[in-house]
This record gives sequence, C-alpha cells and structure tokens, in this order.
Amino acid sequence: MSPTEPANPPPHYAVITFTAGRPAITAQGPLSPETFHHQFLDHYALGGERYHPGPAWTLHGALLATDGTTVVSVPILTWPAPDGTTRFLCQATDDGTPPALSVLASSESTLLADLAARLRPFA
Amino acid sequence: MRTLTSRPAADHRRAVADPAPPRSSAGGPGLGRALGNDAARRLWESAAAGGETLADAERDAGGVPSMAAERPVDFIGPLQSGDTRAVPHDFAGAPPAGVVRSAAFLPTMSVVTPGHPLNDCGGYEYRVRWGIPASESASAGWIVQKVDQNFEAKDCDDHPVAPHAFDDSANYPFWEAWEFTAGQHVWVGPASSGSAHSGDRFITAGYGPGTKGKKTINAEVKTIVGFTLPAGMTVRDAEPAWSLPYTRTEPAQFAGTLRGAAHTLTAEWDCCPSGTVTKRTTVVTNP
Repeated sequence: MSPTEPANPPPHYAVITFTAGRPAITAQGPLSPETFHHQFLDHYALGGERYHPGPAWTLHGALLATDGTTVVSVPILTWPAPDGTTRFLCQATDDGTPPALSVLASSESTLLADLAARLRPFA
Repeated sequence: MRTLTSRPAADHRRAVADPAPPRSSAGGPGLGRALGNDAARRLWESAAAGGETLADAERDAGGVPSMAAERPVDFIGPLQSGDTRAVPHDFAGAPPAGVVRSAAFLPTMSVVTPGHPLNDCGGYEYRVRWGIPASESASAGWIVQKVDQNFEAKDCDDHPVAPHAFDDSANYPFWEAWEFTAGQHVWVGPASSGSAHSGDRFITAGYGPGTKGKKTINAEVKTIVGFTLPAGMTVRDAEPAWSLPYTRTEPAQFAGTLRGAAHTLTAEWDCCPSGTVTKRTTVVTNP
C-alpha cells in the first residue's frame, strides 16, 4: 500500500428502513473486525431452530454491513403475530450459511436497540 | 416426506409380542412407555402380583432411579420418596388404580430433511419436525429436548483436532424447548415469537481435508404439559439452539417425567491422507 493510498475504513453497518415508501437510514455504527466476521461471514452450526417469518411477511428494510471489501445485506422482515402485534426479524438464513446474525423484536425501536447491542465493537 | 408417529398402534403390538430391552442404548423410550393401554394394564397387574417385569431388567442393567420422579407403569418398587407410577399424558381412558397420568407424552416426529452429508469431511444436515397428537389438541406446554453428544476428530497423524464449539463436549448436554399451544400449534421458542415451528435441525460445516472423525448426537425429546421455563432457560440467539430457550441445567420437570423419544445422529468421515477421501461423510439417523 502506498502512503497516499487510503486504508479501508473500519467495518461499519447501517440499517435502512422502507417505511412509508421512503428509504431512510435509521441506525448506523462501527463494528470490530471480529464481530463482522462472526456475524456476517462465518458459517454457523445449528442444534435447534432459528425463526421463520409468518406467511404474511413484508420487507421492512435491510441491514448493510461492510469491512471495506465485502458488503453483506440482511433483510428485515415484519409479520403479524397471532396476538395481533407485529414481529420484526433481522435474519437471512436458517441453514448454517452466513450471515449468522439473527435478531427478533416486537417493535422497530427494540430491534434497533438489540442490533446495536449485538454489533457494538467489543460485544 | 417420511412421517413417524411416536406411539403407533403397530408398535404397541410388536412391543408386547416381542419384548425388547427396556431401554435402548440410544436413549429410546422404555418398553413400558411404548405400551398401549391394555398392555400397560396387564403389566401393572403382573407387577402388583409380584411377577417378573421389565423393571427387573432395568435394575439389573444398572439403572439408578433418581428421587421424586415418575416411573413407568411396569416399574417394580420400592419407589423412592415422592416417586409415582405413571402412564403417558395421552394414555386413553383412566389410568389403573395407583397410577397417575404423567405430565409428559411423546411428540410425533416427521423427517423433513433426511440426514445427509454436506461435504466429504464431516459436514452434515438433518431436520425433523415435532407434532402434537390429535388426542392432545387441547393441551399446552413445551416440547423439551435434551441434547448430548460424543465427538472425536483427528488429523492424518492421529493428533486430536480442536472441536468447533458445536462439537465440544464441554458444551453438552443442553436442554432446548419449543412451546405448543392448544390446537396443535408448535412455535419456535415461546409462542410469543409468532414464528411457527418448521424443524429441529442438526447442521454443521465439517472439518475439511486432512481430518477424520466421528460425531454422535444422542437426544431425548418429550412433550410436557404445563411445563414452565426454569430461571436461566432463555433464548440466546446464538449457537447451538439459536432461537430456542436453552439451558445447561436439567429442568426439574424434564428430569421428573417419563422417558422421552430417542432422536439420534451419527456422522463419520475420513479425509486422510490429505487430499484424498477415504470415506465420504456418512450420516445415520433415528428417526
């Protein structure tokens, strides 16, 4: 790398939501390289079960994360639960392939708080 | 899809006509647990008359009853303090005199994804779906599974290979659970997740070229009416149970109820010498 070549920025993430038809960045922050790898690049093992959205799911937004060379996206889905409230799920797979990140919440604000806790640099 | 029911009538008849060891080494249900009403009643009457029963074989085999637990109807005493003889919760009709109805019964198991290798060197996948028998459609509680394992992997010089966390015996056994509600609904974790159960999965990526080994998962699953999650049994959204309540401490209601159904997997592979595949990953499961 030459002295003038910019270094890759540290890993970071952003949450984009599509509410009211208008995309907006609703959260963003830094990640540690270890967290980026663990949550977005590594395979995961499974000895139980991961969530599945209900049949009436809709796309609410997406989480984007990058380490400067790789960009990963994880959908954020919502669906009505049997109790009439809405569930928010940020998860892409349930078959052991990355990304491993999985967060379920009963509101958007809770989802964003849980994501921030899960992705904070030294989590 | 291959569907297996935990207590098919044909199995009841076979159990009576051809007695097998009371419990399989893989943790299968005791014969008494697999019996139908008539057979269970006959065994209970035999036990009351002092006849030889399967409990003798269990005791001879070194079975050590724990305290305050449900015992199969064919169990011969002395019962420990607090012990009760029990028939499964889905036992049809009234239990025999002196026998209680257990809080537990066996879920149905449907093989969604038969066990198969994901690669040559230790990767596999296997998925089953739990169900609630129609006779228990009004019941609510939790399906609880104890998962234990044995694992060994070596490199081609026979040096141990460090296990992934999922294969590390230090992380076993553990207990995980799915809530079920009236109407035969089964959920991923608590019903409040709003996520319908799809399948319990065993899946791992393997160890790659230059390794060989064997993994055996021994799981026992039972459906417990009125089960309450103990303190510390929580969803972690992490390996191994992910979206399910998880604990490393045996729940008392699991320990104290009749034995559950066996759910097992054995995977073996040999990718030595490095660069060759002497034995592609094989996967054997029950069911």
